[in-house]
Amino acid sequence: MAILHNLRIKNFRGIQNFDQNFDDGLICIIGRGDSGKSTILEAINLVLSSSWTMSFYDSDFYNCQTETPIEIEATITNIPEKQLAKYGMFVRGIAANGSIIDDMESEEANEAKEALTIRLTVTKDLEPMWTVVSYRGQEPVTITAADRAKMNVSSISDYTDRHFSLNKGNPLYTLFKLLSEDNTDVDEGNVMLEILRETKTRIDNSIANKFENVINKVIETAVQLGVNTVGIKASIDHRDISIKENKVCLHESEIPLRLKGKGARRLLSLAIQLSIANPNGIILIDEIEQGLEPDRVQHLVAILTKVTNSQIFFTTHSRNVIVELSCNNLFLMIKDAQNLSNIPLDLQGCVRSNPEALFMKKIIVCEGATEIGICRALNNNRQSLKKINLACLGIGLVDGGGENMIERAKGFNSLGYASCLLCDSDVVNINTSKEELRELGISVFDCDNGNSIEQQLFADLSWEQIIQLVDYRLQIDGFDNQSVFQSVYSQQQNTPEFSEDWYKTENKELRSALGSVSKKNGWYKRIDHGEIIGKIIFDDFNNLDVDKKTKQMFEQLSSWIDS
Amino acid sequence: MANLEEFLSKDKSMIIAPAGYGKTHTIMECLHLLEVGKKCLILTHTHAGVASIKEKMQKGSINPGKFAIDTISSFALRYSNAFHVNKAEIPKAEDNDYFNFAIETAIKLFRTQPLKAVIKSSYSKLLVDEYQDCTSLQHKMVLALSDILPIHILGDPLQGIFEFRNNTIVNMESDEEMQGLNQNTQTLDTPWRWNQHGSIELGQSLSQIRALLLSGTPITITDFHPHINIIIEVENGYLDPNNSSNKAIWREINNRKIDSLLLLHPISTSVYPRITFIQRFNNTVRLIESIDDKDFYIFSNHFDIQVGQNLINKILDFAKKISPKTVIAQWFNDNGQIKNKRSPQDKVVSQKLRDIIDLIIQQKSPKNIADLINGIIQLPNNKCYRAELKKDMIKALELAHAEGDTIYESMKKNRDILRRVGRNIKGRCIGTTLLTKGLEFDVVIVLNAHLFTNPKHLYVALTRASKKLIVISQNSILNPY
Repeated sequence: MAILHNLRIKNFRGIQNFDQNFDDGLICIIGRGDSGKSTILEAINLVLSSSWTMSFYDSDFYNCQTETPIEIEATITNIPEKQLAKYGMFVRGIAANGSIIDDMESEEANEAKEALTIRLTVTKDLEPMWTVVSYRGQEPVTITAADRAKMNVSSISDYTDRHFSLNKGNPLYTLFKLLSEDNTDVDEGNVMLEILRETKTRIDNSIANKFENVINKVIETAVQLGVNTVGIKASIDHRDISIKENKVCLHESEIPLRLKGKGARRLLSLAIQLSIANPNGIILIDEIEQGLEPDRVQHLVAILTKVTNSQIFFTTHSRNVIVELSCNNLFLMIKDAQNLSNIPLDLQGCVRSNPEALFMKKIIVCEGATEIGICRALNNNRQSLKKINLACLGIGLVDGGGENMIERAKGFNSLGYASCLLCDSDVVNINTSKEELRELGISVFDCDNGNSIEQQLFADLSWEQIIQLVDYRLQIDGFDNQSVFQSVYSQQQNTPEFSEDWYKTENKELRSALGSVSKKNGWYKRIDHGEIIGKIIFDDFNNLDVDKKTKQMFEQLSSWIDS
Repeated sequence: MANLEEFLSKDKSMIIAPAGYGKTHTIMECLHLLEVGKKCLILTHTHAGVASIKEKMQKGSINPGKFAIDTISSFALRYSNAFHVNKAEIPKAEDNDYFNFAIETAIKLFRTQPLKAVIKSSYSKLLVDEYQDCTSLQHKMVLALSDILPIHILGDPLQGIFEFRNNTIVNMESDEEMQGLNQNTQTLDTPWRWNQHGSIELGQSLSQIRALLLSGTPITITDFHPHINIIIEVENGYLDPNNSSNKAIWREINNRKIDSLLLLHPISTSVYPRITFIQRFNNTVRLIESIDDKDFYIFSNHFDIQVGQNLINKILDFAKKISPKTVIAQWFNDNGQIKNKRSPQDKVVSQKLRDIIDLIIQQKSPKNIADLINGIIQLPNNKCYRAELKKDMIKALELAHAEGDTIYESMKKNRDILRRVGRNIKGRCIGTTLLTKGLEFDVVIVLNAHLFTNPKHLYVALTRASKKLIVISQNSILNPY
């Protein structure tokens, strides 16, 4: 089976310059709308197209600049033997590190893997030209549509109807040939021809009776005119019942499959492609989730991860797809980028738990559940203030997973997402890594040194708000007021007398005691808790002093969001 | 008969094919045995060889899809030209290292995995013909290919006499050099050429001589009389009309029943013994020229560079190479001036030459030079001993005139064409073993057979005859070792 090793695109639709290597297996290309994902799939489809002609338009050129030709180059490995023999003088090598070698006399060529590069060029006359090329100064040679067909590329798109007919060049036809007992090249038309001959005999027999009277009358008159006619009969002209295999197509009972629902059609078309055991090829699926329920698409992707003899390229906007995939299979397309970004393995867990983040532009890495909740509250607050919400701005929230947050923030930043980190400052060695993040341009919004988020809040908020925080704590799971009181004072030297409203009056020691115990006992370490305390913060945010860290943290975060 | 199934079943195998034992036929039989599928690659040495194998395959109704055939050099050139990145480094066709560069490049290429894959997907196996003619470098390339494809070679160590500038030839008898290519060796044993021509005894005699040559035994040539016609005479005795060999030669020259006659002289380093022969036998035999003979290029070069009287002198030197000096001396003095003639007819002739010479001195052109050469050859009583040299020179001059190239360039173009199509050698000729290797003549007369100093040359000389062989020697025992 052919494997696309490298794809180069120049001046095609939204892509001016693109150069990307691929491995075999699953390649899931993600990215925001209009980033060029589908253009990549279409480029692969075109350069390896088995059609001998294709229509191009001025709008296919980057910025409609028809002066600069469209060039799409596919470098293929695992080439079928006949094509390798035919275009052998153009063979190139793939080094172990994936680079393409043209100088076959160089040392690195010795152990390289053989590859051919097919180039599609469209100049301003809009005539496509497919050639095999090298970068050794050889004059390119034309590659025929039949040879391109041997690379076995099939595209599962909205227009897959033809996949259900027995047309030559279709996967179904290939499968038909493979399964026929005699799959050599002989007698391609014979199957249909035999059936047609039988049919004709039967039709002719029934016609003969119906037209008997007419014919007898004609013969009678003819004889009078002196024509001696023998054996005249009515039958169907051969050429009027000539039916080729391409008229044969799949039906579900009486209904042609092409009339089925979109999702089912796409799945069936994929099924045909995957049934061709060997050699299999390159399958392209744009927006794999189209027409499929979330569970069906998830199931489909899970199945595809087990397919071993195909290279499958697909795009998606679905979180259900991403959770099924390993980072190795995920490639991120960013508008105007010259290649795809790999998702670092460090982000694997993060991607599984926050798949939607990958579809965002900006990412807030939150230290933990509390911070996520607070950010959600911030978002709700923005909406009540008629500010644009986070989703609309393309901003996603990601759970930093505590100590992993530094690596995650770096990972997203390296993928090109504008990233910031919302965290506290109670772990010393993490504090030192924050500097590193700032140097990378990642904003860090954190507490005063040594403070956890709980400690910071109990230190900064008005006593009114603190009462609300404790009240909320008491509501959760019906906590007993006295036991909360005891846990707060367990670390203090002087324990006052317990009363129901022990926390109602402002007290500096109590601020710090509440800060410590809420942190220690994880009072608010859940997203829903965070959301409530966030609401408490932001409902009275205007009255918070500007010299308080809490005020500064969230003001800075807000302006980062708006930037 | 060799077991060809076995020959083809081994990864490396060799068939030794004595001259006339049906080597090309064996290649055809091999292709008969092969199934349709990937092509069998056949490599040989000359374009003439390619043409002859193709013709035989066609006659034998071999499916052309079963094989691909090329010369070793062209095969290497295709890869070298396609893959060598720095095109400026590739030598020009006329450069001495043109082919060697291609082969060295190809050797490097065939050691890489991607090219191995290409070769493997293109060909099922490799047959190499005339293996004894491989240079050491070509042999190295075949060894590189033997890591990729099964290799079957055909050849005869006893016919390995090609002489290449600065190149050594593979030693087929050395196990170390052959690196296993010779591990499954068979020998063809039917002398088809002589059996077909009804000269069975000649074939048997040659087979016995072959055995003697291989073992390095001196050959008492008279033992083979009358199957081989032996005439014992002093060296160069055939030039004397009173000698029986002279008469025997005349008999063969005048025999209209034979299609082809070859006179073989053992000395290939000088053309003069052969020119002398042609002169003594009244220009009745034609000299087979070597396309690499330096005379072609030296004179082309002179004609390009020289002007005025110097040029005229060079043209006269050339004329003396191809026709009797005595005739030229009648018309030109030692300084290359035209002599004054008395008789009115002679005056017409000399005036004509004078006009051409004046034209050359005023305005040199390849066409004028050609006119002068033709004028000299057409002088009364003049002859041309080297018709081929003259013909090629005139051709080069005409080409240079038409295309505006130098005469030297034109001569080389001509040479390249000849390399491709091969010279047409027919009728009555005189040549050397190097020039007639691989060819077949009805009657062959070997002159001064005692002068052969190399068993391979002697073997090639004797085996050129398909119907009748005459050996003229000073000694009855040949000791060419």
